[in-house]
Amino acid sequence: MKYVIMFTTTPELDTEVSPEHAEQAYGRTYDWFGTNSEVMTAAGAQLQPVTTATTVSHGGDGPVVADGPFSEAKEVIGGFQVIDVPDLGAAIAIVKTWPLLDLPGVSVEIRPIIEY
Amino acid sequence: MDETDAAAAEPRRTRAAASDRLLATVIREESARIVAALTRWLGSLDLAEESAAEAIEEAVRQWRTRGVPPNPGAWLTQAARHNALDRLRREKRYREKLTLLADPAEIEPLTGTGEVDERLPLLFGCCHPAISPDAQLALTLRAICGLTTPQIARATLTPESTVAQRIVRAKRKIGAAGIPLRIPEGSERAARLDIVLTVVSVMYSEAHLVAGGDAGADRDLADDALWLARVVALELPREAEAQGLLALLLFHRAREGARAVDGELVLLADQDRSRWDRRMIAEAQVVLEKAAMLRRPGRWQLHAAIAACHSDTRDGGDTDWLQVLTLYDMLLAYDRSPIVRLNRTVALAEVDGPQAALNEVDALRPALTGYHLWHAVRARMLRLLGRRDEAMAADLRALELTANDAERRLLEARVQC
Amino acid sequence: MSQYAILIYEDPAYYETLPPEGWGAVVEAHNEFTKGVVEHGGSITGGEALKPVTTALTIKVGKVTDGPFVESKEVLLGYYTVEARDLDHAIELAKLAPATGGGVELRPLHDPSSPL
Repeated sequence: MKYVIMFTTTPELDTEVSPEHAEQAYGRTYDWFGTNSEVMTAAGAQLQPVTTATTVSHGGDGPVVADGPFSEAKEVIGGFQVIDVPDLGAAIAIVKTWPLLDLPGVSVEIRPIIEY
Repeated sequence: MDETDAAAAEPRRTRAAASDRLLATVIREESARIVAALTRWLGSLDLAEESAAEAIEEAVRQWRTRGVPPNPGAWLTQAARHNALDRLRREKRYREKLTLLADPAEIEPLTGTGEVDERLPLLFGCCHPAISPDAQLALTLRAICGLTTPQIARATLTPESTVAQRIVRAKRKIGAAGIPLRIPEGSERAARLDIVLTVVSVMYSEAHLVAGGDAGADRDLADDALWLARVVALELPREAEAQGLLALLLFHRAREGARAVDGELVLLADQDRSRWDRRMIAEAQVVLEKAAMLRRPGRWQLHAAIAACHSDTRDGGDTDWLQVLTLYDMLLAYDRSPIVRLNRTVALAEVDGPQAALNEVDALRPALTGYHLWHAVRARMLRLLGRRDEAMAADLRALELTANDAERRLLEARVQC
Repeated sequence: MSQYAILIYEDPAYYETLPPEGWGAVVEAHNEFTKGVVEHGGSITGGEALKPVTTALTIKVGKVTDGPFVESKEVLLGYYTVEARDLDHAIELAKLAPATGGGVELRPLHDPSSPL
């Protein structure tokens, strides 16, 4: 089954982590992709920081372009990866080893994708 | 400081102030050209702007004592280029980039010749809707007008750290999100131009606040705004709204000498018409007529047309209020903002009487209850209706909400009489 | 050319109350978008439609919770990645994206080859 895993962070908590700690944790994400390479599909996207986001919303007089993300939530999406695993249990087991989970405000959402 | 010291310090201060004005003129003429040329060369607005800002600061320091060199544009370009190369060498992540750069001599011919004006594409980039309005203004003031961060902070009454952060974020966003530096074509043009014109108009009105009240701005943003409105109008002669904004700012600027007398604000109705700059009013009328001939009406032209009505008056008593109100009604088709509706009530009171105007003012309460001028306009209507106590209360509320010293003194005078 | 993610935020209530025959129109809207992107000089490089948020799981510091990482009226229901000349072009494409009762967020993708 295919799932999208969404990597999310809370930018306002970023300063709570020392740069060394963060760098070390980010370094381990490369290994994580390597270790789990067999479930990784080619589909995925690594997004630039949320400060680069632009929103197009549909107002009464047509589309409105504005600075910032669509959602006002503190948590923001940093990237997606589509994985192909036997079941949800396998997806959870892999996601639990995501190296950034021990940083404050980091979470990963798992959503099944619609396959046509 | 005793009297002798003060007297000794006086001539130096006067000389520096005159030189500051000259420096401002030179820098605003060159800043955007240099930033644009360097951005093209370096492929990074962030780096280009930083290097140009550093060169401008250095220039101001040197030129203040030694005078402006014969070709200030070339001097600034040279210094900015030097700063950029310095930064590229210093920072490891840029080193690779260094080898890819074109010969800096190639950027030379484009600066200062006036053949290719890169300032407008840069301006449209700075005023992109994907940048927040506050940051659009801050970045425009820095990259286009060449103001320093402390000057912007003082002129916009914003903490320096906030201004600095807005500018950095905006520049990085232009680079990272791929905001193109170009004048949009086709259907996008009008909406994008309106953002540019809004930024210029905000620049002018923010300047008004500072000029009318608390001292401390060593550069008059109104001059920058008027200069920029002129650049846009000249570069885009077929854009009626660009002409409209220029006309509007000229009408306002022409009244400046009568509006602020010895640091005190004078209301339009009470202004001494002989203090108005007739030459500037004539220029505004010519620009507005030119705009009208393009047959593309819009909100800036209507604002200018309203300002023109006031400029035709010999004293406060002969204003053609029916025409003013008619123009406001047309303006509502383009701009239904509460501020426009509030300003319209002043004309409405003259045509339909103060009760009709008060009803409209009261309808705007939810949107404008925190705005001092809403209370001031309401006080005026109440006074016209003979409801003196309520008028006094409204004026006092306006006074509480006013941050600007000159406006406060004007309201205080009204409460006292 | 640069790559951008178009994150589609919509009110899930719209789909929950959608009669089965309405889904044809949804699929059609996305097909139209795919065609539109090409007609406007861009290209689609990826994308996924996500199953409803009721199927979402969030993992935070080793803990698994039910639901998406953020609760709000409009939720992320899918994304596309597109190739565009610059942000203006990406906005032009994003305006074509079907986002009933919501809006889209544009995020540039991380480009490791760019030093500046």
